[in-house]
Amino acid sequence: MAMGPTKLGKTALRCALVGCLPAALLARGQQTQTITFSNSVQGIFKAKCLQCHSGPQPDGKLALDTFANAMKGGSSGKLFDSKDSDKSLLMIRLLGKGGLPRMPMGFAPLPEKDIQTIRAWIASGGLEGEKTKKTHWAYITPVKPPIPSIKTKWARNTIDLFVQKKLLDEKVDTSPEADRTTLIRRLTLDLTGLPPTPTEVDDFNADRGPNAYEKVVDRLLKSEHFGERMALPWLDAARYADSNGFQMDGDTYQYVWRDWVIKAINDNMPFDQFTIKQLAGDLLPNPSQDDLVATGFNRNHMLNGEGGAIPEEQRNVGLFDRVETTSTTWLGLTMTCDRCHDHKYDPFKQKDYFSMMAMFNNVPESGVPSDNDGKHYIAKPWIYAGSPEQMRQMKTLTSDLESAKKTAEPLENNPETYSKWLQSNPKTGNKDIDAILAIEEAKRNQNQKNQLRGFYLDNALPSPASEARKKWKELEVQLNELKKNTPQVMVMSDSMPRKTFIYSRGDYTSPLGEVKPDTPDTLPKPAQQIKNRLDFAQWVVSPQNPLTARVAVNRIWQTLFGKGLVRTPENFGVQGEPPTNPELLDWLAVDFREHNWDVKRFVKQIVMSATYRQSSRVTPAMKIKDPDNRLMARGARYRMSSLLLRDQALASSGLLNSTMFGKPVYPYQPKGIWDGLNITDERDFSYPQSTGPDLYRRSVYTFWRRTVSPGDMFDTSSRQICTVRQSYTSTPLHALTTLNSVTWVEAARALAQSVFQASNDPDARLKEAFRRVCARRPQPDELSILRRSLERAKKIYEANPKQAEEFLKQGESPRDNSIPMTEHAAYASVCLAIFNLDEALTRE
Amino acid sequence: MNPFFERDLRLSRRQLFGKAASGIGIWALNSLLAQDAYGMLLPQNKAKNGLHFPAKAKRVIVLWQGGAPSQVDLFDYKPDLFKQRLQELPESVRKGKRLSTMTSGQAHFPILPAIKPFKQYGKSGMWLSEMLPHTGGIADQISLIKSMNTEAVNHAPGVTFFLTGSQIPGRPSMGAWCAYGLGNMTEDLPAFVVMTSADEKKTCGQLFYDYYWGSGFLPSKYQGVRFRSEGDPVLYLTNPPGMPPELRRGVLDDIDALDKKRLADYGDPEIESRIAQYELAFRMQTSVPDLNDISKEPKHILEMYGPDV
Repeated sequence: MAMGPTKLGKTALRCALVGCLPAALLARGQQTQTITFSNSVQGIFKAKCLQCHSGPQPDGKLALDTFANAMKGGSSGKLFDSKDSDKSLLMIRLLGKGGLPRMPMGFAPLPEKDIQTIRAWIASGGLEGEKTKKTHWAYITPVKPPIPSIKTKWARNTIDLFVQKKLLDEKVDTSPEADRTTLIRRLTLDLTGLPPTPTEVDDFNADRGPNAYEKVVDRLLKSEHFGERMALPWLDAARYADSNGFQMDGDTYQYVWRDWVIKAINDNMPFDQFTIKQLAGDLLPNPSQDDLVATGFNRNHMLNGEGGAIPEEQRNVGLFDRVETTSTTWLGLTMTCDRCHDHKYDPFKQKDYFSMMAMFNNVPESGVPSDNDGKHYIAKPWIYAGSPEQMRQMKTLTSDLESAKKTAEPLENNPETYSKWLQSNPKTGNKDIDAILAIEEAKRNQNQKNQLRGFYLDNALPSPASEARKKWKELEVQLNELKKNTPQVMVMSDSMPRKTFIYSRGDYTSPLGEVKPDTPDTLPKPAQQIKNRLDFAQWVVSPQNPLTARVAVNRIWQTLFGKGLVRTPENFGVQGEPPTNPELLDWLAVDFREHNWDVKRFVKQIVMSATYRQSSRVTPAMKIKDPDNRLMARGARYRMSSLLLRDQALASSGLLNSTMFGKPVYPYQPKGIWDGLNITDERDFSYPQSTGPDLYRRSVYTFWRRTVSPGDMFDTSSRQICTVRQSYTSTPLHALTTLNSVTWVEAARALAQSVFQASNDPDARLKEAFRRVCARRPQPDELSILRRSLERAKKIYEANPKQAEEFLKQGESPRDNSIPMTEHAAYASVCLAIFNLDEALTRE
Repeated sequence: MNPFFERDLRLSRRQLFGKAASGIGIWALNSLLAQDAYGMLLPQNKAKNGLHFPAKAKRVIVLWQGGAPSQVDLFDYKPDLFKQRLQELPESVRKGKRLSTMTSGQAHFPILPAIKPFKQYGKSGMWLSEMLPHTGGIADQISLIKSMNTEAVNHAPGVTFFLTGSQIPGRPSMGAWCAYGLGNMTEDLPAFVVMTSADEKKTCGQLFYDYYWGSGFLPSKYQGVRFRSEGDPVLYLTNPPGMPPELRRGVLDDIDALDKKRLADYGDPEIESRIAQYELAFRMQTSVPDLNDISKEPKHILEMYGPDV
């Protein structure tokens, strides 16, 4: 398996083809019409055969990609000579007859259905059929489809009309609206990632005005937690982390970029601006510090600072990452395939890939970290991006330093005073200097002269030169100290133009023809040839771009429904899933763009819909008819991400510290989590666990080390490469985390304490604890289970008070010592159970 | 097959990658479905694992000898190297090869043969270094593949390539693919576990990164579970201090009772998965320590493990 450097191997290449649907499957059920190459056979070939039988050097010299190629046959001859299917070479090979290996070789045989299709195709003469030049839906610029006119009492806005139209076609009923408590919990979790407080729930339940729901929506959209919540999927896409990955795994200051994202979302920056600034903020006229920071998006990739790393190779790895991340995040394209060859499924060429790379290839970077302070390892270009106060100070200090230097230098450079000092036979008390002075002036070497001069400047200058120099040097120290404490954010720049070449098989050491910046040829071109990233960014958000708005609305939809309208958010190409409701997707995409890419408006539009407000109960009939809820005849119900589960535990227990922004923090982690990184003395990798309030910040501020991600953040993106789909797997390890990790155990103790203090009645305490987490009050039979749980725990702890003490010691937050230990521990054990209820873990 | 299941099967396949790309697609799909809520309903999944085809491999063991002597020193016999010892590497071999910045500054590139002589072992006459007499003893029972190659010039990218198929981190590791393709024989243990050297010196200063056993773009449940040599063998495996086993059992029973009520109300099969997940977690708490406990192994087994056990 000889492979070129930094390109994908065959194995890895396969991996890049995520989300492939053999097109033949779609063609099934069309058996009534004449079977032709175009309508039936091509799909089968595409799915099962093209991996070997296509391209410049197809196996057996047989290419099956087009009708013409297939008819040419290969080195063994033609596919068929007559209508007698079973005598045809094609059938012989597909059935594995005649002693030859069965095709597709090394894979499962074709399903009987496909065999029948091909047999029938040959029998009917092997026709070509209509050459469909149909462009894939996603590559056609969307237009607003007509809004369905249906009779409805259910629909609340346009979204619902599209949804209900489909339901009427399928003869499926909508679900009733969820009850108010469920609704406010759903809304609050979706828009802020935190549970509603009991007061918020009560207020909403009491507000019988017509706008009660909308008032909650507006309140949440204004909340600063909105940005923290909505930033999470963006950070996954941007493979944001706080370290580089690889050996030394140096820290970075990219958290300033993370803060920029949260602020931009909270300020409701239009998505087109959000895009342009991140892709090309540095190329805007007079870019602000924020514009530059925004471009950190394309500097968030991994950086390999290993001793032997070849900088140019690593630089190319970074370039590849930029092309692929940008393509997936904004265009929903699987451009990775094109790194080594033309795309097998989608109409993108290798040239398209490298024309995009040409825009990212002008950064004055070496490919490996260029600057470090022993802990942070960053690569040029970077900027100081401190607070306004820090930046003001830096400006002042820099100019003060300049003028202090200007004052000091002429004074101290007075040759007369210096020679006067030399001739004064000074006794310095410094052994080295005195030794030099003892040497005859003409015999002193340059190094000795320099030492002498240095000593003079620092110690023996006469007034006023000495004061001037002291001032200068003090300012220098201050400025250096300030710089050391100011974040240094890696940003984009085009200040080092380079030529870009297509790489043969993705190998940077095998350049082929030169390419210039360009957009993919298949997609609508901008009016003027693009020259750089800024032109490209403007094309990305231009009205004729068929993908960006669809991809963007799909991801926001996914954030609010768990799954997108296109369920393969990473692939809008031929092998991705078609949208569950194409008209709705297109309508939303155009509407979003026409309304100035207004994200908060769009989110409001969704959450105001009747579709969103439906109950997520699953009827037995729908479990069979639509298990995946593609029709949206019910509300979405799914387990929350582990980052938000932690936030929920902190918030409902009252431990949450809502401080926003800034340096990442180090909440509890299992002992020795980073110890494996301690292989040299260059850096201490002991986990620097935070103390006090920093233990209780929201998960978005948790330090994310790329080589070892936080132990309690299960089922998340690795933050190594762009990820646009939330993972919803379920393993026992997840349960162990929320049952045993100190974060949840401490939250249970804090919640127990808080409800214990609030009331003297055990039932009231249990109800309150349940409410804080699940928003609703427990029903009588549920309450009796909680009561039973409490009694059992009490009994166990009363018999063994030492255990109670141990249990209550978990976590740093102080305990209210007036609460009897056994009782406190017993309530805490019930609270831990509540945190682990399916209902608590789930957004319903 | 019920058309609804078939439909589900087809659509899930899209989310994975086409069978076209890999022969294990079908197994994978089934094992995946077997473990998720709707998959449990599939008729064929009533059987254990319920794979379409019997998985022939029951277990796969990969020993990654990070820091070991090179293949040239151990099992890749290159007799000409002995003949050309310390001569300059000919340009015909050297040309165009990229060099790690660790060595690219060298003025000379002398040829170095294996550090110890080679000899033939077994009936097959397998060439091995004299340093490997025990391996030599089983020469006729093992296969040696000497054609694996990477052009990575650095440790981490090279290892990442061998273990995930790509030098660049973020792709599924071999173990993740196996877990995905072959399923799991028992559900109270993780399908894919990783044990790393506890001795920094023996790893030659190389690190173990999460992505060596990561799941890449596969669902994260296929990622390797690292057995730790210190503390809990698996993260968060043991009950928190002050949570005695009988209380934990009781708490889980309460969670179970409340979840079942929720299931009756909501009808979402995901709640069934949750109930099973918590029960498995409880079982894992006992089965993993059992697995790691070698104190009950008989003496002759311990001897087979070797002197360092």
